[in-house]
Amino acid sequence: MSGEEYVVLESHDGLWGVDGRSVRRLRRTGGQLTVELAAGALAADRLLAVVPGLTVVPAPGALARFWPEAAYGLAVYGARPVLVIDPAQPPSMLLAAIEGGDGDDERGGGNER
Amino acid sequence: MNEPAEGKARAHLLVQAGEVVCALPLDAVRRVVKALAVHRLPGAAGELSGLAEFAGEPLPVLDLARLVGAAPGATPEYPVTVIAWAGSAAARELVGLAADSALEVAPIEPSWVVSVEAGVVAGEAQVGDEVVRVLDMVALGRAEGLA
Repeated sequence: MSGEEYVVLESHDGLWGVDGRSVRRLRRTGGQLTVELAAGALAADRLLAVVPGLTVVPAPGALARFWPEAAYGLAVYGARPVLVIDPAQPPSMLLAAIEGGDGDDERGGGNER
Repeated sequence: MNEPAEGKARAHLLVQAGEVVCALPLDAVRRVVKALAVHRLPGAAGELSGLAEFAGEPLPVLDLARLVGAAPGATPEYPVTVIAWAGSAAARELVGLAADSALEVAPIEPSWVVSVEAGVVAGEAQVGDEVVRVLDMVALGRAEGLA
């Protein structure tokens, strides 16, 4: 798996990848970044990069066995492991309450890039 | 001590994990390295120490002692990581196994292994003066089925 564009986020002291096509909006409110997907909104500390061509390997069985959340795969960015989430089933620990607000958009809705 | 018969024994890497010695088929071992930097995953079971990077590849790192049901040893942080292939030959995947030390390579015959059918442990075998737990690397790659 490669060739897609992935948004790489930092949260919970780890790196998380999201397929860029699933991101509807990036919004910063205060110190928190909110990443809106169809299935929910993710809270992250910061956006590290948007990476084209990130090589993603399927989630290993050992990960599925010992981590209760759905994962799409694993990757490496900047010599650190990245857990690439399944955008249809975001990990519960990343889900954020969406608050209405005047956050600063980092990516608009739809297909805007 | 068991003595291997010609051609039947399979080489295994013996690894200290907490208070037990584990045996990994040597052909499943890719490298033994100083403990990799592990990034913990929130919500993970205790067997999963976290994620790491090795030679540009991502991999889950497992706590070998917990994986085989052993009491942890005196070393609070495991100083080595065994990089190994888990799963079937057709669908193998890299895993890291956090352990205390790699001890030696020893031959183990299949007939020496007494099945215990406990998750990823294929069985136990007497190697020298030690009873070792022989890992089932195919079972380790399965997403389900831990006893």
